Amino acid sequence: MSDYNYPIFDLPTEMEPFELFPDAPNAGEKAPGYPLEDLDSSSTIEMQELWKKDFVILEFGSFT
Amino acid sequence: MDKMAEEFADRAVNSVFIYTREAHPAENTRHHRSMDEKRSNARAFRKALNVRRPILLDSLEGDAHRAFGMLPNMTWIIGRGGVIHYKAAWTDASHIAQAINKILKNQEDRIEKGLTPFYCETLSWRVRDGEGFDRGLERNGPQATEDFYRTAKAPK
Repeated sequence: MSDYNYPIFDLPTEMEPFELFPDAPNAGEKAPGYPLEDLDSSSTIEMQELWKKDFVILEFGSFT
Repeated sequence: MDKMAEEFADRAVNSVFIYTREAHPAENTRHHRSMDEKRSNARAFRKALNVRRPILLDSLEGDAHRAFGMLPNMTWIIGRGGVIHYKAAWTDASHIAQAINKILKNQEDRIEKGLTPFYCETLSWRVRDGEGFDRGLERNGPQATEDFYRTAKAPK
């Protein structure tokens, strides 16, 4: 297991992705696609299916 | 965000919430050690905040979250076929509504006006909701508030 699911929040560590955000894919580039799990149906949804026909707004987040 | 999503739903714009790791794990919402725990927290999140958009769970190790930059509350708009139209380090509903309106208008006018896209970066501004953020920490449990403010004050 990596420390992706950290048990204790640490602000300096969690600020690093903000500094690296310009390295993430940019506007005009192709979005990466991964399988996700639908919370209601438990079925697997490939992200590419989300934007096959329509625009899609992706909000990433958690409780806070 | 749900209200905005519903306003654009009839204009061929889908909206989904991708549930990641817990940003501020604490007594009421622990970090995920299994997909079952992740599912359970996601259901509690949907109920507590009355989320109406479809909630999609990322893998336990955050494969999609990592690929998109791993920020705790970011929003992206992806066009038909997978081209990124909007990439924002923070989620701001009014900013997103402006962006998607412009995107849809450009699509409509594209042929008639001979439009062509160009890459552009801007620094945007939002109202900081400090009280709302603190309420979110409190909802997760005392540890979330303690961890955030302790590490915010810690010397580098």
